[in-house]
Amino acid sequence: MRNLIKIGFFIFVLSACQPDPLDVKLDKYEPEIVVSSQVIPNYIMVVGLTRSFTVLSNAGYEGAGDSALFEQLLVDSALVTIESSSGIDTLFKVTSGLYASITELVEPQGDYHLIVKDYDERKTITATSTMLQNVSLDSVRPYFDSEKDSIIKMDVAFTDEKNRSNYYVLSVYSRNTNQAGIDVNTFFENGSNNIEYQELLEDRNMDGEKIHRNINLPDVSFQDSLMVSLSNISEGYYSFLKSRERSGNLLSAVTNEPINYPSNVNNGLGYFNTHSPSLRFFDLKSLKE
Amino acid sequence: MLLYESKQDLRYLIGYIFVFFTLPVFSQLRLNGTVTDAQSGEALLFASVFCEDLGIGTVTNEYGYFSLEIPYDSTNVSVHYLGYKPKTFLVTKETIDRLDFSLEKQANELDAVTIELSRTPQEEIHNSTQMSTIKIPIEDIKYIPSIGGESDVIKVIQLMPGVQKGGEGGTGLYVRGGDVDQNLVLLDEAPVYNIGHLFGFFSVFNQDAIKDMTLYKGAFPSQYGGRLSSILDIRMNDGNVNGFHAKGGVGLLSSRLMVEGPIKKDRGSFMIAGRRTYIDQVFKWMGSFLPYYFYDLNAKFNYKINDKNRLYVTSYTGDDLLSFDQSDVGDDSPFNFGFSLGNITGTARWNRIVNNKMFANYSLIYTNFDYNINGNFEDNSLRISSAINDYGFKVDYSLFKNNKHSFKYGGMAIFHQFRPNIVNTIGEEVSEFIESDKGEALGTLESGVYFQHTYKKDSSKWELTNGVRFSAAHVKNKSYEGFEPRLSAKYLVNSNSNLKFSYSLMRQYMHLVSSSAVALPTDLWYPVTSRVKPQTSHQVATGYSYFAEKLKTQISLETYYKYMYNLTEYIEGANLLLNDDFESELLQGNGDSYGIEFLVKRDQGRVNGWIGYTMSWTKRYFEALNGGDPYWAKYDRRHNVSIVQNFKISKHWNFGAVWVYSTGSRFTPQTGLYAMPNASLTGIDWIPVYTKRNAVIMSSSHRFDVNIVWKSKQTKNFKGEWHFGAYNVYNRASPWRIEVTPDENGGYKYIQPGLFGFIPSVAYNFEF
Repeated sequence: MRNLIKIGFFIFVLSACQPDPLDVKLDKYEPEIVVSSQVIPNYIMVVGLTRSFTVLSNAGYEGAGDSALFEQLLVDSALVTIESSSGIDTLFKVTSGLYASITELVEPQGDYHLIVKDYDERKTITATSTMLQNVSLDSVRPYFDSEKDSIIKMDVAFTDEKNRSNYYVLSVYSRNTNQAGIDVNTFFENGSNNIEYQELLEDRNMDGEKIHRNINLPDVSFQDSLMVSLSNISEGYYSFLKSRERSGNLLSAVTNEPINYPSNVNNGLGYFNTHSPSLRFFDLKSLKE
Repeated sequence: MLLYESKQDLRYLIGYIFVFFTLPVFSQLRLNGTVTDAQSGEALLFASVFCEDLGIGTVTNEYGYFSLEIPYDSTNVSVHYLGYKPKTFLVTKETIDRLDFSLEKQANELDAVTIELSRTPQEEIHNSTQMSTIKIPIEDIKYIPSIGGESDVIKVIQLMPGVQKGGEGGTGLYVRGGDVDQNLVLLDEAPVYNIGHLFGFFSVFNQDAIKDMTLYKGAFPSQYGGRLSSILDIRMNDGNVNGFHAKGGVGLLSSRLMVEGPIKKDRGSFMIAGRRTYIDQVFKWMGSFLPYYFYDLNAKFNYKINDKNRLYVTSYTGDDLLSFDQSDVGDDSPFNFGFSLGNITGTARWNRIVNNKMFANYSLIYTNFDYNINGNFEDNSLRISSAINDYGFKVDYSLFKNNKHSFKYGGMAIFHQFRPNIVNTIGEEVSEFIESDKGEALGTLESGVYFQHTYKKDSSKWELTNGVRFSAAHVKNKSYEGFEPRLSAKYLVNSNSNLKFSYSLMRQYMHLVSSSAVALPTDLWYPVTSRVKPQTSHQVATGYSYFAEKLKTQISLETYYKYMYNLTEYIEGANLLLNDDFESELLQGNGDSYGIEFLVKRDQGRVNGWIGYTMSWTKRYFEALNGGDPYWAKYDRRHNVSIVQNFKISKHWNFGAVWVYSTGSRFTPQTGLYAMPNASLTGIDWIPVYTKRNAVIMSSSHRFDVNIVWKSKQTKNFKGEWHFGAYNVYNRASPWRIEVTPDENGGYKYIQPGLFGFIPSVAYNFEF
């Protein structure tokens, strides 16, 4: 009892007169259209459209992992067009929030202008992206290192284009089911995909050189299939991916300085990128054999 | 750009100094000596010595020494110092060679009718070319209200125009738009890297151990360098050479004691002061548990070898200590955590009066700042530490050539040894996440030479102080150097008012790397490198100063503009915690600040204090931040007002009050979220959306503090006084941080809680 009195006294002295907090005056948050995009080589261009939302909502503050929430954010009613040297392509709605070009990309290089007219919010957003020349993989070789680490590894090599600033993203995806004859159409189909390796590179100190990577894939087994992707990306998209890389773990979410992701979307968020990846597929069952 | 100019320029400078000082020195009748406290023998710094008949005078230097040329065989010389009875002496040819003045303290300052008011520090600043400078009498600081009833020199400085605090209650100093690492804090000439205890809520300076402090915000004298925005020069008490004496205080949060006395009467003295919090003991008394405390220990010894030579040895040590063991709270789980954080400084000084015109000081300096964080859980342990050690040498000469020309010149060299981010991990679990790292040890030699000339012609309305400093840093086999010209000018408008102008170029060769996202004591200092260039600044200031002789009140108005190059910030999303390659996380850009500062200040009399107002703008220009757009600095507070009053009601009662107002600081809130496909293209990542950098202004803060002092016992041998104070009397929140809380509409909102509400305090100070 005596201790309680002491504690009570001390709390009175230090905090009984804790002043009421003051409100922060913030403008009302206006949701914005968010653009994501993906070019599937020799196939089509896919554009994803969602909306941002205030962090000071239940969903924003209490956790946003709810798929129902995500479905609410999809842009359902929009006219999406892409203008390029090939002409104007009006994308069709594959599903809510996902729009795809009808025609194949016949001349993959050059500028692409995206225009989105959102009928619900009566907003128009635009973005421009330059598709850079596809960079080919000189060699890709998965192998099992039985002598040293007893894990699957991969050698990847490609050559940097000389006398210009280049930015690359090199990725290795796995799919946990073997499938002979797997390709870009089937790799992400009904499978459980993982990203096993991703590296963002800039050629500041290796202009025109042959770039080689020996990649450890400790979580990959002989039952998996692999897709290796190499893309020549713009500096802006490189910055966007770098920002995502920086915020990619739990510790950084707690300890890092605030970060504003770069965007090339006028009047919106996200990134409209048009890089065309070089892809290679591997069925690892053959390694075992 | 001066920074990389050839070393030939340095040779010219040295040659210039050499030639100048080998010129014939004309023989003059000269008065020189020291001014001291009659009771303690303590040197009185910046005391006024002047001949009223002739209208010429000077002030004692930072060691209490003066030299003055007298053109006649006899004249009256007055010596003034705030809080002391002025003295006037008839000086004749026979006594002119050496005079040491000692002044008696005023027994009762209320008796101002019979005791002539002294010249004050502000009056001395008014009369000199110096501007953008603040001197606050230490005696006055003790009556200014404060948290917990213990006066704090840093908190008082934060109340002055041009100086802004960081967060509520902290000891951070943001001077004229500068950053917190742009302030050089010197304690008896040794740099102090960490000036705050308890995450900055208390400063490391024990008021009982301090004799004098001067803050330079601009118009930097040439002997100072190494930081862009301010120099805070704090001098410790020398110790009473005539008798033993003690003073101290008992407060709610800490107690302190200072003891001083002669080592050998009239020859040498010592001063030892200590302070310790008992937050841990208070919690223990309440049956609770907070295993944290801090302490300070100041010590100083001085010895007068003869009339011309005196030695000083100064030391300071202080630590913040936290040690938490799960078993202390009755839990058997094997977990403990702790940290220590502290400074050690040491200075050995030799003051030498070379002749009646020249004074010399030689100093050896040592400083250490380090922190250690450790945690143990079962078989795992983690220890993170960082340290900086300085070993320096400094030499200063003051040449009082005649009443028109005086010079200061000298040099310094300081070796900084940096040991940032040392990480030791033991145990499988912790080692999996955090690797051990010895940290890259770095040595930096920072050096500088300076020369300063003050020209004052009796009949002229102009007074001029010009100088130059050449500074350099040598890191990793690479040198960075440059000139730092300085200029201060005064134009006498009439006997009471003058106009002033100053220009300063400053260079800074080290910077602070700290994470704003985590409240851990993990700030570390780091030198310039090939990737992080030295910071530089140009500052111009103009001012008008009026001194009301009868009221002993100074009114000043100053404007300034400061442009800063190579400021450091962090790239967006920077991770500084346990990051050994933090150079790659740093960005450099520019910034500027401009503003108006208004001050009315009265240092003595029954009612004294000041009213200060600052209106300022501070911006940053970083290509890689905020989309390349300029943005306001975090502590860009447009308006700052402080009213500090001290009213001596009677012999036994004193009333002090402070009202302070400042526009809110800025922050970058997260406002939205959006979804993007994740890297494996099988799910989504949630991406935060923030406003533009520092786009939102927090609420303005203001508060009113009072302090009532009852001098309960005032005898010759013992003085005791009770301080009854209240902080934040009307209990207004001064925004400290941002929190999210549910709002009335079912959503959430940001709020700004205040750290301290109304806090009563009581303390007892004594002196015997």
